[in-house]
Amino acid sequence: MKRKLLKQISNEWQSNVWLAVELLIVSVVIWYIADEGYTRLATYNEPRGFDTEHCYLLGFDMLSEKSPDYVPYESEEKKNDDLVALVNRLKIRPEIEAVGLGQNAYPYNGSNSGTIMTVDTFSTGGYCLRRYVSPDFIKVFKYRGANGETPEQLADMLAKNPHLFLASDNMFRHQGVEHLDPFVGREFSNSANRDTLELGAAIEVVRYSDFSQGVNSVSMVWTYPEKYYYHLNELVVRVKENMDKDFAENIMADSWKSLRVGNYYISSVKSFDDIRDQFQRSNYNDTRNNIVGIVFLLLNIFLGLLGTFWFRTQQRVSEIAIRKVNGATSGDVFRRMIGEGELLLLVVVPLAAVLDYALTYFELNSNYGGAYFEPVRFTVCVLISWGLMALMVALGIAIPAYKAMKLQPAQALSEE
Amino acid sequence: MRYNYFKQALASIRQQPVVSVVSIIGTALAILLIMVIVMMDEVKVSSFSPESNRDRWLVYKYGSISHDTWGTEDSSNGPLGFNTVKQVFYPLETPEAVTAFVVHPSEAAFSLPGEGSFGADLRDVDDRFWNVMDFTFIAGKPFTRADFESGIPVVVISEELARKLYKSVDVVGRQLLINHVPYNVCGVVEDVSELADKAYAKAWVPFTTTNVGDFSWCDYMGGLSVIILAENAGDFGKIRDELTENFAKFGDEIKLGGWNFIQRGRPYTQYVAANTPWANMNPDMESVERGKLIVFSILLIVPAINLSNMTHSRLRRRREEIGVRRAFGAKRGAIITDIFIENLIISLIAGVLGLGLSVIFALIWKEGLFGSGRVNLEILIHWSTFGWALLFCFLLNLLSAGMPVWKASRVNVVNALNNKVK
Repeated sequence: MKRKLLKQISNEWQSNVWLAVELLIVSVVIWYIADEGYTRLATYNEPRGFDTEHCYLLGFDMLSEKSPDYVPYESEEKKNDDLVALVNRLKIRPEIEAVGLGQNAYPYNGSNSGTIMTVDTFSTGGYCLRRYVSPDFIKVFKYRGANGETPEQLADMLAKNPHLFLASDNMFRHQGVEHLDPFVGREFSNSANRDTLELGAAIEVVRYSDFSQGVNSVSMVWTYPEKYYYHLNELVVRVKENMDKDFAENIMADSWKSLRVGNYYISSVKSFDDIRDQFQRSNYNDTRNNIVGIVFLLLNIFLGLLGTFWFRTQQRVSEIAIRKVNGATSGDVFRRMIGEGELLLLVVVPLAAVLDYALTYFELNSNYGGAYFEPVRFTVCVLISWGLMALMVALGIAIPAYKAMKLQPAQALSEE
Repeated sequence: MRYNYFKQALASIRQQPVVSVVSIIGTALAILLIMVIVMMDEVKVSSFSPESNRDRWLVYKYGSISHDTWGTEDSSNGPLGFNTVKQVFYPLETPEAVTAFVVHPSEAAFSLPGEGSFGADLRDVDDRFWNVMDFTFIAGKPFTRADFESGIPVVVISEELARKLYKSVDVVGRQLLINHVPYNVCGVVEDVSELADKAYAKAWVPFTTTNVGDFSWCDYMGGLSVIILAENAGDFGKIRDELTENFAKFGDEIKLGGWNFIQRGRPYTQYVAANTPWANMNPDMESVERGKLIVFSILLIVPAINLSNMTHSRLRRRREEIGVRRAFGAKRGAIITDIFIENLIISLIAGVLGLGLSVIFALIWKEGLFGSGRVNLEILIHWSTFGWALLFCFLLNLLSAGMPVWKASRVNVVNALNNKVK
């Protein structure tokens, strides 16, 4: 049976070569997209290291001199006092659980700041995010210690000793240091402030967004002394569970009453659900466009096989009829045609896998966890592309094969 | 006798309906997907109101600056300060207009006196902005140079915002509070799509009335972007020269403080600007174009192989006809041309279908393709859109029909007439 199929394929070799080339190109492209999708999905499912549920970003601003309500500040302290007062007024609202301030610190943030932290011969490689915050910021986004410390414990620790900082547990992983525990209590030099800070605790890796890998998210957290809060430009709050309803409206309604202190006022309220969607829109769109691309290529295979095998069925009417006369069942005819397509695909798949491997070798595919080639990921993606294409081959050939199956031998042969 | 391409094309579709329909669908699908990608690209580059002059403007969205005390690789990159705009850009003489405006709209608190506020996008601009952009005023007019220079609190608002605030568009002269500062409405314009990323906002105020004009962290960098509008694209070279001269003069002054501007090939045309998102990187158009070439090649080659197989099938049915024509002395070239054009007609039918579908697709699926920006036919369809569609149809036809047609023309006359397959 197999040998006959091979013979049949070789008889139609010219159009089969073209089909094979098409299957090959599409197979490689689908593998490439599947590989990217795999990476993206795996990244998406990594632990985030923060929690934005029930969290809001409050836009705040200061009145300009042109406003009739403007009050000139005689000192920076007075300005700072007003901001601290605003934070305190928010804190006592019954629906609010925690209020934090930050500088390029909240998640899904277009802006960021970096620093280099060094101790002994260890130093952050790549980009180390610097998050300068108020202690309660940690409670808002629920950062957790690598050894199970709660957000409250971490915030408490920083509030008591402003010389301490927190670092993501993966800070020196590129230098083979799996956990930061041995460095707790050590003085690190901080390039951003040209000073030193003491490591208070290691925290779980805080990713930059849902689509950035933990391995690339190295960060440190340090709390500003309260007298410098006016340097922090982000105001975030966590609302108690079940208290989200009308939160934004209520804040805005009070924005010019109880929530205005001196020149400070609240200008907008945005939920982190919206901020996340906005920030990651291009990632979502890329994913969707990739899927559209795959569907398009699969449709092409479907149409190509449909067209080619339709024509072949027409050409082979007499052959099929003779086989039926000689005892082939309809199922045999059907299976034989599908088998022809699948066998062709089977010839192509190893070739495609070689090309796929070449792509990983030259590092042209996506990088996950620092690697371009991982046996499991590679195999899964080859199988995905094979599976999808096998399905299309079967669907594309099924229609002409069904037609061939229904052929009445007597009629076909008499026409001949 | 004149070869009747249309009749022949139709006859060939009728003769083999399934294969023909499959090839038309295949071609239409390919054109559909390619055109959607072309449209996604074009909205970033083609002109549409209010950014109607994209083809004759140069963009200086961000600047880059370094300091003698920084490392050699270090630079600071971002929007420009008003000081730089005044010293370097406003004095330009070649261009028709030069405008400075805040790089990204900010969410400001809007309210009517005594009422609760809500957030909406505000853009701080100069008066020249209205000459460079092409807004449609429903009521009132833009603010003037005098308003801008004296920092008069006037605002142009969009129709949507006007209706939200006042439930009317006839609101010139009315007062509102923006970030708790009273402003008077001087004009109402038609809403702007977010795809016009340099013009977009819900309200526009003179930046001399806000903190943006004063905002600066080193006297030279601040919050402003600049667009230079040339009388025509032919002036770009001259403008660049003049700009280089102005920067050189300014450079002598700022060098005293240790500062140096880095140009990175600026100002950019709209095309380069649209493909250079980061302020700290030089444009890399080569890799952008290489990426596009790969995507388009795959989108063309895969369907072409398919279609080629089907064209081949269709032509096998017509061997006798070709044989007869050859027997009566038709030249190979003539047969190639005839079948090629006939095939092109089928491709074009499919192309029109594909283009139509791509517009429908783009309008239905606009969120996914264009983000939150509104799209309409004016934004989606340009003369160049048709040009691209035609080009891709032709390429697809060339790729898919080239080989089968060439082979069909080489059929052996005797075999063909005897209808021997080989």
